[in-house]
Amino acid sequence: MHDPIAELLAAHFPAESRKTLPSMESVAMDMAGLRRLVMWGARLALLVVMQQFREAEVEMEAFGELVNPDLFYQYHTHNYPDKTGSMVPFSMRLLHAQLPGLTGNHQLSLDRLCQLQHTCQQVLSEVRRGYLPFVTEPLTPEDQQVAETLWLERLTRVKFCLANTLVAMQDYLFAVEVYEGLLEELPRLRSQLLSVMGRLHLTLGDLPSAQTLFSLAEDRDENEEGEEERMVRTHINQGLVNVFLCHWQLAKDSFESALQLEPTNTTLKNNIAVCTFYQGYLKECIRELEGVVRWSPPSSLQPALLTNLTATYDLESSSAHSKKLSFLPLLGQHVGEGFPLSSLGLR
Amino acid sequence: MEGSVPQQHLLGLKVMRLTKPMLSYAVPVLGEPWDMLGTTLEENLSQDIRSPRDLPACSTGETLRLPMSFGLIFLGETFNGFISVHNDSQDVAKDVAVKVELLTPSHRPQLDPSACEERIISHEVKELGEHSLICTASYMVFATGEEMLLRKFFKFGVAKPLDVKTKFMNIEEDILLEVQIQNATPTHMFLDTVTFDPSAGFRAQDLNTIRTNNSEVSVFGKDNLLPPRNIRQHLYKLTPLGPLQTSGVVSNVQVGKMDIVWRSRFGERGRIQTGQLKATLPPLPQLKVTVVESPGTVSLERPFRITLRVHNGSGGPMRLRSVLEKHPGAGILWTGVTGKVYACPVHNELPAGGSMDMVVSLLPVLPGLQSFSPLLFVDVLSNQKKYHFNKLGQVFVEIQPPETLSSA
Repeated sequence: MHDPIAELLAAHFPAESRKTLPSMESVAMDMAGLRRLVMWGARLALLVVMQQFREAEVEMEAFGELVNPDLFYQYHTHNYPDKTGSMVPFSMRLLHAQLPGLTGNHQLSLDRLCQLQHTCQQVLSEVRRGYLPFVTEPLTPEDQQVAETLWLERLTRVKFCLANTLVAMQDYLFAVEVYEGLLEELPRLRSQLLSVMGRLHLTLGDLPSAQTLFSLAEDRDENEEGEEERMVRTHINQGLVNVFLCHWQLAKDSFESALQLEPTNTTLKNNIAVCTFYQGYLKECIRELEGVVRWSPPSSLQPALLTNLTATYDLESSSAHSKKLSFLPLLGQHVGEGFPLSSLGLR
Repeated sequence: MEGSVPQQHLLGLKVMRLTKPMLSYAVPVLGEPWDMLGTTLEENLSQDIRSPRDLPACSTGETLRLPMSFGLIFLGETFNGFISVHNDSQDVAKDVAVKVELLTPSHRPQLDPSACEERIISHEVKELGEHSLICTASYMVFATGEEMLLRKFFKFGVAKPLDVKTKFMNIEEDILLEVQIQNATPTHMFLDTVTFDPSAGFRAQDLNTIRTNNSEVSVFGKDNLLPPRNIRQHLYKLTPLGPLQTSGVVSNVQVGKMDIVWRSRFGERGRIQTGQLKATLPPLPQLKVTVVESPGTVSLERPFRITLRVHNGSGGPMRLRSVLEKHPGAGILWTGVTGKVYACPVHNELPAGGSMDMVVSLLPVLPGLQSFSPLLFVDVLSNQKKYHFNKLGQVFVEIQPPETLSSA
């Protein structure tokens, strides 16, 4: 990509103060070396963050199913004489599993995630016996503790990805089941998990189940979080129930109660503005959303806010296009390359 | 949604369908602390309000999104639309009046004549097919005094949300109704209520609950969700309140209608009522014979007795002669005198509407599940009219253990 700022900097700053950053040209497409693999993992993650899913998928294809022999330490004994096992970072494996779903092939994502889940469970049971895969010496008790925590954490992350893929496939009931399975493993996140399950039931149209889950989420149990966080979540859940029932003013009241506890919460401000719109006050909604967006960039420059704002601009006047363009200077000043410009709705 | 706008209008008119908002979604990409990117990814994700703040690995957020497209609308749902009339020109428009009409496939009801600039309209969709929303804004250009009329058309189609099929089965005087409901939409449906409203001549019993000790539980369990294209069957027993059946077949009897209320995506409510469901009633049998007493299991080659109840459903009296038939290979044989005229209550006649019981002897000759042999009744009074009864009932014939046979 042509970067005029980089050229200017290069022209005006002395060579010694320049850092050499790896660019795409400097990383060879060969498989030798852990460092390069770690960099590939980072590159692919960044491509996904910038929503360049197709490019990431194409580059990931070169690595196949991540089981090629040259991805293992044993293949590179001249570099790593003592190490055994796969060189692929776990995050990269998770990304490899998530990618097909991001370009529409949800079934392949599910297959890969299930396989990854199975692998994690196998490693976990090995660790619990006191061993690591590919290593003959048993683990010390301290190491075993660390390994068990690590692999439990990884297993949890795989399950979250599974639930996300199921939601993308609109198989909400199955996603709720996956979250239910996580309740036991993550007691500290019990209230948060129950809230997500309730929200998915609202998406399905099932109000009684949602309300049951929300009231369970209000129980204090093993939650280590503060009272305030719990109250905010309770208000948000109540607000969403009111949105379900079209009780727009009650929904606004719920979100506003939460806002008093967290005055800088942008989500709450957005939701209040959305309720205002459904009450019929288009101009008021636009004023509220604009206020939030311009209030404190860059943190307030949210794609979610801009998407809602541009939808209201389209409705409000024929000069929506120029209003959308007026955000470009602000965006240019504050946001990075990953910002989805599609949220401006420019055609 | 836009139609074509002639350039000389001062005003613009837009309509947006108010489907329910959706929850935001994010694509969580997370790393481990020792990865090259360290905690950068987590920090980046925590800034985005599309991701839930308290569960970063989860893709379902808590931020509401306005609807991006018209979506689908189904019969029974409510069309909510936001109408915006705006003046983007430099001139003043006076006396702005907005009229909204909905042209359905059958007729043209008027919705809301008003002079407001922004308006939400609401209309419960009651017809299938293509609908047209006609918005007319009439105004006067202040500068010239010219009267202008801006009209825009917005078309949308209404599809069928449910496929309803019915099956009737007649059990004596009652009718069993099975209603099959299929979700024809692409999203889940939460069935709020499914009720059957019987028509005036019937009483309906809902057979979709299981009665436990203290309460009634639905046959479908706690789950009231109907996934897309799935089918659910509901069962009702209908009892006629008065004598409906005659000697002939009665068809197209209106038994009642179904009333179904559901909720779908984030609370979109829908309700439909079917038309009157029609059943065909069979004619009342003139002579009815039922087994009122019979053992379930009998022993091979040991005679046993059953009690039959004979009911005269015809309009006049009958004098019945029974003919005990035997077919070759039958497993159970009648024993007794055939061709006998049965002793009836009144003058050897069975009056209209009357019943009598008769005890008959039988002998099982084959083991296993056996049916009774056919029975023929001849009505002496009505010109030897014959009534044949083939499937009176069954009984299980056991083979006796060998020890008990050696007593002889």
